[in-house]
Amino acid sequence: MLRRRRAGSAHPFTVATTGQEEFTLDTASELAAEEGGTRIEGRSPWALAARRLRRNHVALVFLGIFLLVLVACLLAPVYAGHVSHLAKNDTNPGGVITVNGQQVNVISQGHTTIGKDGTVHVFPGGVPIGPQWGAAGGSYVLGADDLGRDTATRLLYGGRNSLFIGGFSALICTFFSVVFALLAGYFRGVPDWIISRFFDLIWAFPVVLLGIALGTALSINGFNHWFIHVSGQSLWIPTAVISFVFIPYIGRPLRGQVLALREREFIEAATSQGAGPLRIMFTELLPNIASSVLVLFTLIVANTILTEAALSFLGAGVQPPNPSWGTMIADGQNKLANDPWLSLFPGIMLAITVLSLNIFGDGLRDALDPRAKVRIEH
Amino acid sequence: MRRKRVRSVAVATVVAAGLALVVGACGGGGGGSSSTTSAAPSGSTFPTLKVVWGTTDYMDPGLSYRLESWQLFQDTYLGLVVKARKSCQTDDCTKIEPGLATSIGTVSNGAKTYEFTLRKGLKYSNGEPVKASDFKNTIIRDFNLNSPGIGFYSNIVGIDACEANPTKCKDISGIVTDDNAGTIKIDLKAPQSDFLYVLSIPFSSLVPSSTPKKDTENPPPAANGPYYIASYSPSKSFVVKRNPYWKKGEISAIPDGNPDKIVALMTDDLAQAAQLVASGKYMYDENTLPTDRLSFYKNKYPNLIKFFTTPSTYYFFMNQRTPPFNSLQARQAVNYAIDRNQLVNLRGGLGVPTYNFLPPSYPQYKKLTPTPYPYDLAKAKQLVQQSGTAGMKVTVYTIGDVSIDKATGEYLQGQLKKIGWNAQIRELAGANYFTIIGNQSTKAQIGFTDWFEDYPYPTDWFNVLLNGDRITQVHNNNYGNVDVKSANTEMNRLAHLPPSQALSSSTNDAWAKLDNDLMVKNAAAAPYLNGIITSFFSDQMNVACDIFTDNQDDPAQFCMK
Amino acid sequence: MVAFIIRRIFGMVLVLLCVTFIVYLIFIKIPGGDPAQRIAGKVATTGNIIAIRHKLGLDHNFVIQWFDMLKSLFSGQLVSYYDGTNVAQQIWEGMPATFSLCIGAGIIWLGFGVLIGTISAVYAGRFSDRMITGLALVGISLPVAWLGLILRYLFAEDGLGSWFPDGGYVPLTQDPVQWAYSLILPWLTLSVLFIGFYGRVLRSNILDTINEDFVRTAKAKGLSSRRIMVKHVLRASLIPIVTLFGLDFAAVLGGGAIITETVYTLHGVGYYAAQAIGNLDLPPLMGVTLYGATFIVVFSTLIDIAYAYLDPRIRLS
Repeated sequence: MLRRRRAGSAHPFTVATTGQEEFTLDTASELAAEEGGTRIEGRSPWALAARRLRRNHVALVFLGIFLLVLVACLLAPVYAGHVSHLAKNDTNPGGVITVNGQQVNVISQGHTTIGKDGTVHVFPGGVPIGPQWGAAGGSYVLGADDLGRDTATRLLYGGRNSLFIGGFSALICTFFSVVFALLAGYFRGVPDWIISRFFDLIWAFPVVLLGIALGTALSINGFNHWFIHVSGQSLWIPTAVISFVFIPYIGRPLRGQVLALREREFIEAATSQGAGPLRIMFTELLPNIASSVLVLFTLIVANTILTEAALSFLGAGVQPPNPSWGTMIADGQNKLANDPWLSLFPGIMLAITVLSLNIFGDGLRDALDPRAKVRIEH
Repeated sequence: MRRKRVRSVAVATVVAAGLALVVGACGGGGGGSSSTTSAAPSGSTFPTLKVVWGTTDYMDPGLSYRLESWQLFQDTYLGLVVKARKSCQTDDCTKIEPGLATSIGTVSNGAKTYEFTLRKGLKYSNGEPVKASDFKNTIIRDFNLNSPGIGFYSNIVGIDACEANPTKCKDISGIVTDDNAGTIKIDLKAPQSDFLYVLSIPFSSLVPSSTPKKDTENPPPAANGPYYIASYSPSKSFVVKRNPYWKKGEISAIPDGNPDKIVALMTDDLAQAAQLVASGKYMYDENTLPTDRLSFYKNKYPNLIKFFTTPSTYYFFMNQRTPPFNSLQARQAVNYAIDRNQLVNLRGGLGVPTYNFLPPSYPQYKKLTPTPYPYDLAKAKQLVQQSGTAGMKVTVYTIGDVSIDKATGEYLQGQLKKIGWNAQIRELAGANYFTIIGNQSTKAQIGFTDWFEDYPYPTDWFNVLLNGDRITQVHNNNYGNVDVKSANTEMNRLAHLPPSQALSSSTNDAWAKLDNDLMVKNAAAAPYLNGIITSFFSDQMNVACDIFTDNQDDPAQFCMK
Repeated sequence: MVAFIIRRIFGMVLVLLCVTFIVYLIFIKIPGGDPAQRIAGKVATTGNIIAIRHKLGLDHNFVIQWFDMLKSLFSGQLVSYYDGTNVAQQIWEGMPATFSLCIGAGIIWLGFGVLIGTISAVYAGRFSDRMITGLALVGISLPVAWLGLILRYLFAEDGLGSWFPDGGYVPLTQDPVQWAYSLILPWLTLSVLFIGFYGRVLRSNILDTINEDFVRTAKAKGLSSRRIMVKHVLRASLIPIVTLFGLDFAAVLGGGAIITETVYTLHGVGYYAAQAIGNLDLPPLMGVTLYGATFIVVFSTLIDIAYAYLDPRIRLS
């Protein structure tokens, strides 16, 4: 997430996938050659893309992995209710569990003695129990945190929050980027100038710095202006912050595509038939950038999830006690020496999720936009 | 981020009434008695002490309000009176002794006038003589700097104009100095039990009148102690050297010190600091060891780590102006619902459970017996039921960017849930946590707080933290809005005693009774532990020399093997 | 051309002004963030708070406050609300650490990125390509903070051993060996992401370039494939990589390495920014944002101008 641009293989600022190569341009014969000579006439481009995607087994496997993670996270309450028997924020610091017939403290107990000469002896404690895998029934499968909460349960709930923020911020970001790109590309002139300068402005910020500054400021007192009232702990705050900082990263390449499309004959044709701006934007221009939007969306989700982790790590993301993978990594950092698992597990989950999204996103791009290439764009 | 919280400071001094057990040999840097097993050896001089130090706010005695700086100031900036440099574990570390003045002052005019005479021939590290007028100018400088310390001087006659507009403060009529005679006369509006303690804190430590009336850090103002701070690079490093003008043995309370030079690397990364000392690159770690590595270091270097209890109390405030904590039963329930041993555990064991408000090192401390609130969830639950507030929404406030404070808040939230409230948590940045909970409009119900003393007298605890007469709309320190009329009256009475009575046994008993009344009868707060800090040395050092003077150890007294 | 450059510079300054104004707006309204109350300490008097507000200029209209802050920033007078240190000087002192981190990491990521990009393009479709592409994808999927923590734990805090210093930065001038030694883990942490990313971009560039006409011509001329690869394909494919590098490098110099610096306690500009956010300290944040944004904007503009100069097809409008 430190990386500034990662939208696809494209560099949104000077390098980008351009609209000139959208798949509808492929001639039937070219496509037929690629499809190994099978019949393609009469099929829609989307159907062809779906067919190509179906043949990309690696991408499908990783889509499967992602869905598995998603479903597991959605089933968090079931896990909490029937396996770990501890809800996500249930603390259990003085708890005792039975492992292989033996009583074990969930948190090791330390104490202090003060000698007659005033010398203080500290016997350190407070080390949470590590992963029990199956040894303690269903509880503490992945160990406990410093308050005796069940790591596995929190990992699943944390995944919900991370995916929620990642997904919704990508959605919001993509939505606004598309709207801005359409407005700028269609009207050109002054609206384009304003929108481009807006992109420049966000672009000029170091992303993490802007994200943390906004996240910190908003989480202190929430957002209470106009008719919007969001409390400081709401998940919508990191969601909004992340979607905001990524807008130019999608908005810029899309704007370039729309500008290019705007010059094309079919737009002229539509205008001459009396189509209004809205109709041209949404029925002519939008379908033509839809494939790029889909590809960019998949790839930006991976980034928003990583950014959530970065913000949470610096305390500007999900507000405790609700877990997210990012806050769990951050919480675990002070327990690394005693219990590295606390940071390891959420990190691994995060990496797996992001990796599967990246691989699936690649496959999707290959399927939708097979000739997309890196090109200098201005 | 492994970061220490910006915590308020403390300087240690006095206490311990008339039975000042002046162990003869402890001053003067030499001749420490090693006849008893407990007395620390005084060691001999050595060229360079390399230390790892925590970062601080300022290195100007008029501005700094952090322990990290005050620990250095004890050897560089002295006041008219100073705290004794004696081990709290073996000696009376709480006694006020003469510093730059020849005595701890003469008191007259119904305990409202203090007179001091400066020692002759004292010089600052830049060669300037120490003058009586420097004291007055130091206090005026504090005001001109908008120092956080100026609130300590409100009882001096003629201070009102300066308080109204500190930047324009030019003169304080209640302080009269005579440079030729070296005398300083201070008039107070009313007797003040803790005035000598106030004179011992760094805000009252003399700097030359020529010191610029702005933040002076590079280098810091000229010093009058055995050492001076030769250079300081904020958050990175500092160098302390011997003051060439220091008169050895002149001030018996202040040892001349062993190292000729102290070179410090500053960092807030506890793990890094510990590793630098363990590897022998540095000789002393001023930071506390990271809790997750405590057992590791303790097992590996059992003889190089010292633990000290600090005069600090960690407690939960409960806002008596808002339900449910306007009910005594609700406040008692909280006291029963917290397992103090678990809260100590959250700090890795670095704490001693407590039910008192005052820390145990005070002579005014009297352990509350029998244990007033043994951990009892069932009883707590019952009390919540009786108070009729079960199911009420309760928001726990805590600091979110310090992991232990955060865990503490979440622990409390978990416990409050278990006893029948709908407990929520609100985590704020350490930087503005106290300003927010100290603002009445926040209506903070309950939350984490701690207190490190400024000086070791109960006025710095009860009158600041629990006095109903001092509740303010903003920047309030009485977060719980504790307002017990009888206690307020008693606190005010005890704060205005002549110094001769300030440490008498009846006064001490009165303070102890106040502790009992507020903590047990009123359940005004839920204190849970006194902090423990560590001192970690490399194996070049002789750990036995290290003594803990109330709130910190004194690097000048360290010695090598 | 001159008009174009002037216009870009004018736009640049405008963007930078707006950047500082936005940071200012974000932080000025934080509740409990009133620096005067915090400076006045725990036994604050009302008179002192008013005096501090006046001294810091907080009693002015907020646009004037912003303007004053900029003015003192540019005259090198701006000081932190938290510890009174000079912002410009602190940024200046943080630059050696940040530059050491970024230059070292930049060399690693560019070198390895080009290496693995080329290898996987040459062996496109084969096992080694898949292997490398897969690893590159894993690299870009790792959260930096986590990677840094784990590396530090494993290699500096006895996870597997403690072969590296446990955080901290040693100035190059003080001890070059320790300098490099203390930076190895941070360099790795920062470059892992970029290696994966650059490798992937280069791979696809090379594969595209191979199909270009001039490569076909070279093939037709009978040049050896190694020669074609190095002399024609790689050279052409590297141009966009260099552009990319310019921008990414500007971004990490400008505070983008904030997490790496924080995890390893490198006292660079990013660490300074993180501390300032923790202290809710507006002046350093203004300084760092302006510093970071300047790098990003200047590098972007330079690259635009360079392109405009090199590529006559680009319209300067």
